[in-house]
Amino acid sequence: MPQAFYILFGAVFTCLVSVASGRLLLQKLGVRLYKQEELPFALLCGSALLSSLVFLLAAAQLLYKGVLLAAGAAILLLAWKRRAFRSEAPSLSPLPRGLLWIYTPLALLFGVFAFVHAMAPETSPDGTTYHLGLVARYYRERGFSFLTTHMYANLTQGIEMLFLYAYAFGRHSAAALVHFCFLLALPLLMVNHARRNRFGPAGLGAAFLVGMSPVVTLDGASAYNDVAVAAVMFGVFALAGIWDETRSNRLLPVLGLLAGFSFGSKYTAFPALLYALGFLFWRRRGAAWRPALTVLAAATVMIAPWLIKNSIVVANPVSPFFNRVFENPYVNVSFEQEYSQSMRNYPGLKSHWEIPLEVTIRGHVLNGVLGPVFLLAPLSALALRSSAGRRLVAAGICFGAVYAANIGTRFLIPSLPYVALAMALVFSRLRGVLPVIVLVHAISAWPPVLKKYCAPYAWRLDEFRLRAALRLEPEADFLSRKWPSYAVARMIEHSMPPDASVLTFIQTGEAYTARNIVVAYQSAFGNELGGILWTPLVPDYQPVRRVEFAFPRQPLLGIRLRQTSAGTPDHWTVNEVRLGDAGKELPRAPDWRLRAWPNPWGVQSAFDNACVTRWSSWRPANPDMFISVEFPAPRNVESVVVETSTDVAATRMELDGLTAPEQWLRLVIQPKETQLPPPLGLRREATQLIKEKGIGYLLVHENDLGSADFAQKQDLWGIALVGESHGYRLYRIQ
Amino acid sequence: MRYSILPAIVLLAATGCVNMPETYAPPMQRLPQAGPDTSKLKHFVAMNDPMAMEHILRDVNPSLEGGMWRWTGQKPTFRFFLPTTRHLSFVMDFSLHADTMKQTGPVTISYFINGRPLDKISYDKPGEQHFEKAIDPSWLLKGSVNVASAELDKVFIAEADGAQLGLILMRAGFRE
Repeated sequence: MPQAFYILFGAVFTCLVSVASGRLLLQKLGVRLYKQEELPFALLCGSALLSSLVFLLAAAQLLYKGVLLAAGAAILLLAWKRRAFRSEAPSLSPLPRGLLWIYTPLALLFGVFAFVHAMAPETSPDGTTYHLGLVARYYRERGFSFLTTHMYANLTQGIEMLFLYAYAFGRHSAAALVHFCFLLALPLLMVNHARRNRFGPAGLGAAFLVGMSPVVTLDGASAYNDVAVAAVMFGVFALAGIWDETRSNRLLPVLGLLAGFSFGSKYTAFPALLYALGFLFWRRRGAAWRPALTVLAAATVMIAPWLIKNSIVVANPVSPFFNRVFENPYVNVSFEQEYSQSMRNYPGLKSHWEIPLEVTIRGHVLNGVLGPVFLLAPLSALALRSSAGRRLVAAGICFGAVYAANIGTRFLIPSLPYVALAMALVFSRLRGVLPVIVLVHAISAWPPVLKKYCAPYAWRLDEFRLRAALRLEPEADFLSRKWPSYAVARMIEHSMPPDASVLTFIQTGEAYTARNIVVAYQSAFGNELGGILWTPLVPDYQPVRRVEFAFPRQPLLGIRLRQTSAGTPDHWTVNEVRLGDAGKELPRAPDWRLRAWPNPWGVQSAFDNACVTRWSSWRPANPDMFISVEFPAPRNVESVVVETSTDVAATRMELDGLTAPEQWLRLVIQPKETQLPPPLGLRREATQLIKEKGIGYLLVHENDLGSADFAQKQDLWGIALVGESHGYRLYRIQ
Repeated sequence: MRYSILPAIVLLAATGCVNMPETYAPPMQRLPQAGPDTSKLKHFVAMNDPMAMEHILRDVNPSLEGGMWRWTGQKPTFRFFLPTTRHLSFVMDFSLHADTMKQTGPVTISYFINGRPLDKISYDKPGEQHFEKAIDPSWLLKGSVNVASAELDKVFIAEADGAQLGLILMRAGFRE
């Protein structure tokens, strides 16, 4: 039970401090809202402020429980002294009692189910990997570190900063409960918006359509951030409407704060800022510049810290995206392209025409269902007949415009409130229809019913986890039973010393271990390590092509290899470049200057005499690519040999010589190609190189490339099995 | 209001302040795990390797065709130097010509390592073939020359000059 207490304390304290911060801000700005609106808007604004505070503490390496507790206590004390919790605001018009009698039991049923799930040990895929993995890491390290090997650390993490605050007191489940708080706030915001705009009963129905939607309930009861971001975005929408109604400029900083917090919580929430600015210009036309600048300034306060952090740590403010614009050594362009492509086309989805049924009923491929009722979503177009409906549809389109970038079901959550409200507006015109639809939705979304029609492995709430939530069943026992990643994480924890790092090819439960996990796909460094490890396994990656550029012996200041093919998907890779004179290889001197474009940072891989490393363009080959060597003084050269692999057969090379400063002369167009023997000892060379780069362990899943090879040829690899769990094998590099 | 663009300026300044070197020196040079290559003989040879003939003991035509391959006779035999013997497989990449198979019909090839029979496979269709089989380390001599051969049960015999044509060989040898 004490653990349950700490969990609840962590969550409640975080939410209370958020609300207190928000009330203080709204009080300071003199914002006037209806009584029912004050709490959810205080939560949203206060969350933005608390998130920023935690960011600053993390940047200052001050993430200590005492500091967080003192800061929270000071905020609560200030709010109490300034009577910020006291409200004299008028109430919104009441909702029909009959509807409340119908809906309240539903709210209790789903609310308790979700609350218990959130309080139970965290078992969500992304929650236990990067959302809380990074939170745990920041707390362990007392703040941000120069983490360049984890692309998820480069995303904006506004909501995760709230998780971090709660985590300090109640660990994983406290963080999930903070998200649950936003699951309550979102429907409340929707109802308030509807009441203010005189369609309260419809708004109430819409709030239930959203709140009981299976993917929303589960996401909101997990350490994800989609529901929180949707709530903040809805706050922007609702507040813009209030500003339009009241024309109070006091609302503008809050509008900007929430719009900025949206982006500061998730890149894909940037439409919130566009919506806010667009709305101002739409409603004020030429006179919108000053309000817009106020909004922009407030938003910048929430956005800039993340962009600056990324600029400093990974040399790209919007990492892991736009790496062609912000060239950097931490995220490869090819990874960005492949990642974006995979988010637009989930494996298993045969056609985009399957999306409607997948996101409403099946839920396996796109991870979760909205509920069958949302098959009626096209009817929301009928809401265009009213001005409120048009505004909802416009917002839904604006906030849902980024769905194409990631077609997972939960990426529909930001636009779901507007679709639901528009649907409810339409159905409320027909007496008695909306409550029936809400009841049908409730029945179809109830977990035991849901599992009867959705795909067996759809992401959904499955069981009522009361004993686990109250920790009557110990957390470790529950997680060992329910969540294989936990057992793998504990195996890592027990088998590796505290300062060791492990390389793996797929994410595992990093939130449950303090060891450093490097996932091969999550950074350029990981890509490089993965390539090193795969070279012994994939003959096509091995340096078996010898491309020789022979030319009359002459003094040169340098040589330059140019790639000349265009329009090939192949990357240009070079394992080794060897310069020759008088029939012998020129020893590489420390005063040689090596250059490459693109990926200048990797050029040394083509000059290290290692068979398992290679320089790669990490993007499709183009004629602007080159590798060059420059000497401090002219020296005789008669040949250049490039050792490369068979997976880049579509690339072509030409050789230039630097005959005088800035004077490159083409030396060879048609090189001679022969084959080299596949080198021996590659496995050992690979593991030794990886060890030199700070990785002492390998975590290999049974479905990973070469898993049998690792198991059967441990002596060749120079590795020893130290643990095995749920299809994973942990090897120590000797 | 005039300070409202300050954060944006700070952001832009921070974005531009990352300094990375333009050129690099050659890094530490690595040594091959299999040790320095002191022998003319290798563990594997492609037919367009300038040293290919050093590895051929018999029944491989010295003439390189198409810059890539050579005709073999009935029992192409090679010698390879093996610095190590653990987890090695014998590999041979070759092609069976449709015209020769018209005369020979299906061809059976027996593979031998240091005189021991490794495998026997029948090929009934023309085209590219890849043979690969793991070898017991006790069959091999570490740090020494090892002999590998492939014996065809029948070869094409040219009516005009009686020349024997077996396989179109691209590469052969040992790999881990």
